[in-house]
Amino acid sequence: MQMPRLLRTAQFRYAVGAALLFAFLSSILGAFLYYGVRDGMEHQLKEYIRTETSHLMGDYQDQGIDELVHDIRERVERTPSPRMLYVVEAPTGRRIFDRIDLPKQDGWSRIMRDDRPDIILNTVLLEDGYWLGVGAEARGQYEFSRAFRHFLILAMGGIVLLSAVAGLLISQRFLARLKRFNIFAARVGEGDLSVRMPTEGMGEDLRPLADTVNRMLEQIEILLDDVRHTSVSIAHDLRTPLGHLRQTLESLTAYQSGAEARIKCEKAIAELDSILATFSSLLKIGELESGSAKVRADHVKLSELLEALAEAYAPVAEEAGQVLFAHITPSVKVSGDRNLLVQLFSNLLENAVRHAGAGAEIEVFLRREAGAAICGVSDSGPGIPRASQVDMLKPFRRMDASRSTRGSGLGLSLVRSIAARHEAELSLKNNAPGLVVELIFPKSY
Amino acid sequence: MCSLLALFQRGVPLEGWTVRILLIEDDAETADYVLRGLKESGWMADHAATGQDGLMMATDADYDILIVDRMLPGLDGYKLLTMLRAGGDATPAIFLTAVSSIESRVEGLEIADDYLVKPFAFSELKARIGAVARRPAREVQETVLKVADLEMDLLKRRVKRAGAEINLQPTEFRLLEYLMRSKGQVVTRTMLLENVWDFHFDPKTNIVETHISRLRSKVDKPFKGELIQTIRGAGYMISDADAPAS
Repeated sequence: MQMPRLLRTAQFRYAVGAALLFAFLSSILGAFLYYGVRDGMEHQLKEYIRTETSHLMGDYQDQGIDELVHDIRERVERTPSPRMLYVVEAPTGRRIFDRIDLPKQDGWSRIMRDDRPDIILNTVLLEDGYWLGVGAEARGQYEFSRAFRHFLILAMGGIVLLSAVAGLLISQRFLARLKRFNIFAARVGEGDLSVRMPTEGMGEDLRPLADTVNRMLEQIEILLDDVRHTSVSIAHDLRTPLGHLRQTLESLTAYQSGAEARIKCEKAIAELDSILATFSSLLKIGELESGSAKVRADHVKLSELLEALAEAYAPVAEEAGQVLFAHITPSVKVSGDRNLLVQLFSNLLENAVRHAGAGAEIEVFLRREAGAAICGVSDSGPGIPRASQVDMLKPFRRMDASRSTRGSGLGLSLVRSIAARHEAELSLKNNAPGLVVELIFPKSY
Repeated sequence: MCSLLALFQRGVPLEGWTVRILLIEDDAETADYVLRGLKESGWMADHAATGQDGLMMATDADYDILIVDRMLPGLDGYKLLTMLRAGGDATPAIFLTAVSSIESRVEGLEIADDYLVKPFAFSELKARIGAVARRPAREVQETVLKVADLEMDLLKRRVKRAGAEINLQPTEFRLLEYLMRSKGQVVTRTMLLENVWDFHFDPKTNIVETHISRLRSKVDKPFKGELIQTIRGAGYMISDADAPAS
């Protein structure tokens, strides 16, 4: 049979477990106490019996057996119950006074009796073959034992019962909070990512968990939003060139042969190439972000790399009516993958050339500050409003103005992925006017 | 290696010669596309669809160039080429691959002569076959490159045409050097990006075109006869063909 849910919670089990442990330890303590007190009582009783015995023996040694018997009789008559117990046994086996079977040996013995206190007995063999037994009921001990047993049963029962009740209460309270968790999780499970775990009344134990879950949800919501945006953008960005391709191919059917058909074909191939380029960028970003791509950790001569790129792109900028210049601190090296870094900086330069517009100045910079290499590309073009700056690093985010221009909208995403794999901090800043894309490599050589 | 390559080394163009090429590729469609292109270019081409077949054919017959798909069922392209190389076969090879990561490219170039990522244009492959076939020529240490009346002194880093000194930027110099080393061969935009700029990705700007146009304005414009030609749908080529008879 299944136990009720309330009894199966961890809280309940802990409560019961703790109670049992407490009971066990209490029992050990009780046992020490019990035997200590019992021994003390026995010792006291024996002392008493020993004194009595030595009085009687004194009489016996002075005046013989008759005086001893006389003496005992006097004591028996004089003392009301409860009193000491006396036995004198003749060599013939005849016993006088109390009816107790004497063990035939000198010294202490204990006579056990059911439902009555035990008797502690001191036996002495007298010179003329008589046995003397002096004893007493261990009444105190007996009562103490009984009381202690009752107490133990009551106390242990109480402890276990109370623990069980406490466990049940805790368990119930926990289950109630868990139920809130559950209701909330069910809503998330149904796809509502906007709900948040209530933190009020959760108690300090569960509040951190609720906070963590909430932060997690926030992150998931943001990521999911990115994914949605990315898939919509993929659909949008690929539909345009695919549409062009279709138009081109359709118009191609009108031509039988010749130069016109060839031009159309080349146009179609160019469209396809741009689609393929989008896919390779997506793949590369995916590889970098999933961590499946190995990133080399060579010493890359960053200064030389940037000098070369500045030289490569200067004519391109010039053709676009821009001026490109470089402020590069020489012989700065960073650890990383040269090919990826070339791609990173050429993406930045291409962005600047494409978006800064004619007449803009573009600067490639690299300087060292406190062991870090600070580098990047700045331009004096229209820039990006502060509010959109973070967004621009995500896939397919483009300023509306540049929607119509060529480019996959993946350039800065790729920059971000490559920077992240190199543990470089990437930031977009205002150049007033224009944009600065800055990278900080924390370690440079 | 057949004596044909010796001819390339002297600068004889590939077209029109029966170069024997072995294509090892499991994808039937790609194989068809490449084989058709190779035959249209006037080359002899054999095809193996598996790594084992490819290895056998490459060992049995004497090929001038191997085109090997990196991912093959059974014996993959990388292992196949490693085995051939271990056996002392130094036939020039080009890897074809759908794997574009830089790491695998570096690894591939350790045993192959070139590396081409799918999908590719046939003109790209054709240009690379040309480049690979004449590669041994580079082992000869040339100090002066000549195309018609254009002269490049590699030691003094100086360029002259018709006796007049031409001032080139470092990139322009490297670009011209690469073109001149590939004299009479088409070089594609991608080949230029890889070899002159060391770019292993496709930049969105017209960086190659811009530099070529600058180079032309220095090397061709002031002189009679255009040496740097644009090959439509393929790339660029430098040759003496258009040069004035000196």
